Amino acid sequence: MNALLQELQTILGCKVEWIKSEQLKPKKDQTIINGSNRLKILVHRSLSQVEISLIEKLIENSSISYIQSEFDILCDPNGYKNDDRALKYPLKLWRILYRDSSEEVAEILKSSFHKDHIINMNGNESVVFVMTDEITPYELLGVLESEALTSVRIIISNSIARASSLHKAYLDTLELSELGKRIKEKAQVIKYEDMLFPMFVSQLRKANGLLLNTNPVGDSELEQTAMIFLENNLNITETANKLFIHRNTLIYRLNKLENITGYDIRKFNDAINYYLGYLADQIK
Amino acid sequence: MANLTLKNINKVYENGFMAVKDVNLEIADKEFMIFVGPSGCGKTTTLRMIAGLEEITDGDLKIGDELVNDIAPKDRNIAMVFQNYALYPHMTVYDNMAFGLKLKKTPKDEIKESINKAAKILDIEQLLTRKPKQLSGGQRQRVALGRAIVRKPEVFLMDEPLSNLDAKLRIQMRAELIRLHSELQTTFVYVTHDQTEAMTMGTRICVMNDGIIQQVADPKTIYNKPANLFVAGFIGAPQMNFISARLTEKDNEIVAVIEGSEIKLSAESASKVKAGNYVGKDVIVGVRPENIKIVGEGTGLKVKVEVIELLGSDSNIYFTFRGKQYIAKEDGSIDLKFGQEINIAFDNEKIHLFDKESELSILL
Repeated sequence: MNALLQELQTILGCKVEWIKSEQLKPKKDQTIINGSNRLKILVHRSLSQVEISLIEKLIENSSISYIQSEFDILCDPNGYKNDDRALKYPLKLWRILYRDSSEEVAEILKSSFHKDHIINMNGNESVVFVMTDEITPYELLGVLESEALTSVRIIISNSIARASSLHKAYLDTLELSELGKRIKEKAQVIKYEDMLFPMFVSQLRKANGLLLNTNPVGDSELEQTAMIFLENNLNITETANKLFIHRNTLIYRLNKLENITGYDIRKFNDAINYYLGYLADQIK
Repeated sequence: MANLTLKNINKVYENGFMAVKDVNLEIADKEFMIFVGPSGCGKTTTLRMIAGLEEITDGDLKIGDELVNDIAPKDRNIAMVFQNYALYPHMTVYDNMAFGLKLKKTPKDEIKESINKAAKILDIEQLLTRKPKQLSGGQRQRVALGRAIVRKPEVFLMDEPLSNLDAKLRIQMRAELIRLHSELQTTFVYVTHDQTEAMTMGTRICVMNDGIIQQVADPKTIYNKPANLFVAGFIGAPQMNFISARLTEKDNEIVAVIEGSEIKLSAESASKVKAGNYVGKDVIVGVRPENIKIVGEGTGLKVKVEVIELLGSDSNIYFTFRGKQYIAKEDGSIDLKFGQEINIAFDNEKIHLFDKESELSILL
């Protein structure tokens, strides 16, 4: 924790942390104070207007290095230049999102990773620099949910080869998180490598480069069947077993999908085309 | 007291997907309730709503007499055990078990007492000083259970806790969990996709499909009196055979006519068929493989043996009738050959009948 936060904690007698501007709405026993352009300070108690003004003045008079946050390494494209933590590359960022129990989550992360490899972004998000495979994301999820008793999602970046890529990788995890909610709403672990197509479509959409006209299937059962069929490598038997339906029922549904969309997703090329169309429809 | 009440519970995700639909269920104190169903049936979502890890879209959830919809998971006095559990590699078993209690700032003496007690129940007292690397898979799973036990919860919530274990260990741990439940005298709610786990462990089973409860009953009832076609097909291995038939009245008796062959129904079944006005209607006949018997020439249905699976004490006989494959379960000592023609008959006392439209059992 940097010197400013430590000083504020001493003055206010409560927990104080940096948050990013767009994140978190304060609860009734919390106050948010403007820190800098990108960052704000979350104070874990309600403050009077006078106290808020005094703290804002204190921040205004502080030097830049004094208010530099520990997560500039992720939030600032050049933040890595001023960061002296020892990181070994390649590594991956695990962005861990949780609903509550932030103290318990922090303790569990400290027990699972080196403390210099953890950044607590705010009361609902921590990022870990992961360089080993000592613990899988699913295992960490199990520990966090069973010990801290809070719902957790883990977003995993691509493999990062150098410090200058950290900022971009972090931005990717923000996008992955949003895409995950749309494409894999129930998934609690979202990995970059599983989301390349959605990322591709999303980025094309943002650049107005996606001019596909797609028609939604309009049948959630058919769409779910198609997704599970794709996840099971276009395997009829495995998909039927997973859905606990007869293989003839599955074949009937795939034929119906073909009638609606024109794609026979039992064929690899059609499966790719259908999936891209599905994503284009979902990501708008 | 930790009975659970789920009243009109719904879960709808942001994208409109309805994962759980109007679930109503009472789980009694000290009960071992199993949620079972295929992938995506809503069983895990329901468990996570009980835990407080998923928000309830609509409906009431009570633990004891308290409405807990808006109560944080850590204040619900529950403990969870997952399929994916990790032990801290650098900590001893004792410290792994103590971790959650330390987080709750439990006094040291109390932690020690709880761990010793849990270790005794789980028979891992001699492992407390070991590190996870020195443990077998089964021992690690016991430690994971120990972490839940030391919390002294009113309800244990388990989500496929045995799925990562090999087959032999899974059978062993099944027995361990049954013993643990009777020893702890606490409510267990257990999610599995494995019908054998459901049948062997639960005091009651809740079968789910498409987010809807299909049937809640004790294992014997679920097996012998399935409420609908789905439950009948999901529970039981090999799966129940289903054949289309027409019910007709003949010489004051009700018979199911299957492709020209007649099967006489028991008096009890016949009275339910009449009461439900099913005479003259098409239905689905369900027969468990063990209720198909090989009979002498000139009786029953003539079929051709296609595959024989020798399982030791039993044999599964696959045969085709009118272009569709069925399975019969016979004694392991039976001597049959591929392609051999045999005559089979259904045990008419154990035939199930289902409505063709609603797929509900006609005989309940």
